[in-house]
Amino acid sequence: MTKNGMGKLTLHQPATYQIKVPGHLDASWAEWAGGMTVAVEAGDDSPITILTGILDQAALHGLLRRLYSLGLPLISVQWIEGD
Amino acid sequence: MSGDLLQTKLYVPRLRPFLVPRHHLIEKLNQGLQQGCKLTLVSAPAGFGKTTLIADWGLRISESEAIPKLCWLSLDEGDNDLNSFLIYFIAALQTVEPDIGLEPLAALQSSGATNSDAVLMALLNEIASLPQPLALILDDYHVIESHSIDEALTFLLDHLPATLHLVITTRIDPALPLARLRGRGQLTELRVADLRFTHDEVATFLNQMMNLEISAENIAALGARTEGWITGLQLAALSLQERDPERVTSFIQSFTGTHHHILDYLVEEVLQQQPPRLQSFLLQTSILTRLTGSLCEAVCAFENDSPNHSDGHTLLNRLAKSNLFIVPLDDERRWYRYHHLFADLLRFRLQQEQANMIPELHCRASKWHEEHGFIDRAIRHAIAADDLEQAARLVDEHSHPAHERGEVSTVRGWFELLPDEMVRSDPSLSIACAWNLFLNGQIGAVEDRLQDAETLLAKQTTSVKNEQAGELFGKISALRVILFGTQGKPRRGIELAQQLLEYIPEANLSWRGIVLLMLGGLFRDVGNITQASRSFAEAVTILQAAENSLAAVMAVERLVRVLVMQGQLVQAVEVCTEMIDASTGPNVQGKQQVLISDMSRAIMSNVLYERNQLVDAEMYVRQGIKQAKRGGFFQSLVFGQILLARILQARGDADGANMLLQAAIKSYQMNPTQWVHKAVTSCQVQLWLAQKEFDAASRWAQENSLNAKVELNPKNEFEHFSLARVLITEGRAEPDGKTLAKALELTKRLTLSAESAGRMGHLIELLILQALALDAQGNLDQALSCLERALVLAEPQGFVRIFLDKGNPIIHLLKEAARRNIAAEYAIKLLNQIDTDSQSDTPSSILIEPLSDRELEVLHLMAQDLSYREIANQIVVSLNTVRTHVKNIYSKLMVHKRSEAVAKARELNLL
Repeated sequence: MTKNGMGKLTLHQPATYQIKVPGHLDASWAEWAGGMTVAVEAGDDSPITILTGILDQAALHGLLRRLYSLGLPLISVQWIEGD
Repeated sequence: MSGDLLQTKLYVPRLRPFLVPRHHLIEKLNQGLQQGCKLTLVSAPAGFGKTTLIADWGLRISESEAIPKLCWLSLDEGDNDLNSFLIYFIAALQTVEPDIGLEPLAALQSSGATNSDAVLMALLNEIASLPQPLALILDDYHVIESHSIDEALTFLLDHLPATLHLVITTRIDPALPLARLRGRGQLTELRVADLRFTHDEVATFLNQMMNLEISAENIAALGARTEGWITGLQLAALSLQERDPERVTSFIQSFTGTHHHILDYLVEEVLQQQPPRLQSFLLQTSILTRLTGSLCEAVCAFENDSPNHSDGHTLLNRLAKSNLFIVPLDDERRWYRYHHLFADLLRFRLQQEQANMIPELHCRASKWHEEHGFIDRAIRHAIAADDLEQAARLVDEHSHPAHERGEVSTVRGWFELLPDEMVRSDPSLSIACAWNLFLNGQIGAVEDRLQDAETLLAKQTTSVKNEQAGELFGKISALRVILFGTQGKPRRGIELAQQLLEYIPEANLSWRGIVLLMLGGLFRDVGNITQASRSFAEAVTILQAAENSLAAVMAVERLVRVLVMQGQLVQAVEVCTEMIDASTGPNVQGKQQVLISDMSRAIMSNVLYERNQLVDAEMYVRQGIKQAKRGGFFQSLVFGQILLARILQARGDADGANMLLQAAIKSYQMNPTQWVHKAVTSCQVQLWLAQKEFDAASRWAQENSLNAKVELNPKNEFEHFSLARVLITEGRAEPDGKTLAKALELTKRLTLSAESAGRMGHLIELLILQALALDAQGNLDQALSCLERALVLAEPQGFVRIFLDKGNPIIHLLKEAARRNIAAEYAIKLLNQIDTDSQSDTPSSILIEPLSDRELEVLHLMAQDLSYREIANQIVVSLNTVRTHVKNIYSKLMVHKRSEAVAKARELNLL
């Protein structure tokens, strides 16, 4: 996991996260993924799905578990500071 | 066993008929077993065939009749409570070893805080002595988030005997000391890299198991696209099965060409191929964790009169036949579940397509589960439907019966599901919650809830529901009465209980009976034995009239203990006999009849012991112990073990007595309460004194800072009696007589207190102790006059053991009394019981292990001086068998020659 400097990230406060997984997930997955927006960008040789949304830590870990249970490996999990 | 324990959780999953053989993995699992690994860990994401592999492995083991025996536990989110986890853990072991873990199970199912380490230790000891090893599979361990369960399992692994092998399947590595086990070579691991299908397995799967004819090139493409992920391959195969063979290649090309997520792509494909009705069935039933025909019908709101009606059961069977990710949960194919990953995906689709239906589906599921008695599920579905009113109603109605069945932790789970403000705004729920906290041992938190309820009720007084409010106020007071008792404020409890009795309608028998039962206990605690006896007796009558047999038997138990204190053995026997008669009456159901009459006899065995009727006492108490174990009556179990220890000691079987005491201590440790602790300690001191372990007894007194100046408290009476006996024993060895003087002083104080309270049974005990102290001081005349009083009091009620348990010093005094014609008749009667003790009893009581019928037969022939060869011919067995019998006879009789054996057998009336 990476971060953009240290702001006021706490356990209880929701924060904006961006999660990248390989492959193409279409927008219908947004609701399942805790209401995150789903975007797909071209990768080097295959597309990458980017999930963006505001989550607290419990929701974040729940989502990571769901992605894992669907057999999706993680490329990155990033906190977007300042939102 | 608790009512809603789901047997389906213990069922070894049935496999689909055609499975890809995975010899290399089976081989690795077998190696782990052979090398004595403690744990097999199968850790991989969903859909890699973990459960299938282990079930297949288990089947191979059981077919080959190799060790170990296999038991299974499928975990779910509801198992995150250590108590219920352990209950299921033992229930799983019991599927192959029905008698294992009965005591630990009783401890777990009784109320109050369970000591899980002691429970685990007891369980481990039982496992260690199993004749044949077991393997226990914990399936889906990733649902466990409770640290206390991880810790319990770590403890278990640290102490695991070779007779148990654990297998864990999980999606996430569990919080267990895996590195340590790995380092010691005690861990077998299978991970994704091992589990994913190899190229050959992909080919076997597609072409042999799924009957597809796919080219090597296409197989390679599918294998690469799915990376050996079995669920992905299954979905692809299902999709291909329905397809025109000519279009297979084009499907595979488009599938391998797309960058869409495999599931996203394939589930759609598979679902689209199903008829719309089945699609909708799949989506709507995806909210269920377990499926059965009528439940599915209720959830999908099938209309029975529709023309092309097919029932839920038929649909489930059709799904099972078409391999649509459905797993049977029993042999009768009544219960199923969806494959976890498939259920996830179906729920996801349901969310996308019929989100507004979801609450309604959960409502229907809740209703079905309630109607069929699956209350826990009913509550969980009501919560999922966001129907909090329904959930609250269910909790309110069912928490009391669930508490009565000992399912305290289940009810605690329900209260965790309800929003706290909702509980706090409902008086009835607040009281139920208070009860749950009390039963769960969180005494400090109870009062807060009771005050919530009171405040709410006070606001309601103007409402029309006056009668209901009255009942709730009554419940609050009843719980407070109990609280006062446990907090050492019995007098306030008595006051409140008496108020309560004026308040409860005469007609409400059960309720009055319970309060009287509590009142009796409080009177006993303050030493007012007359009132205690009266309250208990009234409770017995009322509870029998109320047909509440279980509560009545509890009241009988308490009444008999008090009657023994009062010296009323005759009446105590009458009370027990009446209860036994009542148990065969028309108001008691079949199974309860045996329970009630066995428990009543077990209670009576306390009286039989006092009267030295040891054979009957032993028989009844053993039956009682058996019932207590089976029925989870935890305190009855410990009290039964204590009495049996005393019986064995009375027979001169010190080893047997010590063993039973240790069993009682172990049982007690699994669920420690102060009241039981006193009883166990008192028995321990008695055994020490009887076995002349005086140092141990003295140490006990010192360690508990007990001395003759101790302040008397009726609650600690047994402790004081034990102390007096210890002091007398110590005093005998001291020349200056100081300790004896103190002992005498203490017994006199105790005598005064017992006499004034009318505890005539205790008075007899104390007079005997005084006599012993006086005799040790050399004051024989006074000693005999105390003994005379004791004998006069004891005779009409038939007290015997109270004298004989004091051993040689009392025998000497009794002989002296007989010689001087002091209460001589009874003294002689007692002395005769000692002399005949070892001869009048049945042989089995003296032999630690009784002779078998065959051994008795051999013994008879040995007495006729036949040779071993002649004996063998006579009973038609081999010479070696005769030798074995003879060896056993010698060891049981503790002799080394034939002549000794015959002599001993004559002595024991065996010949």
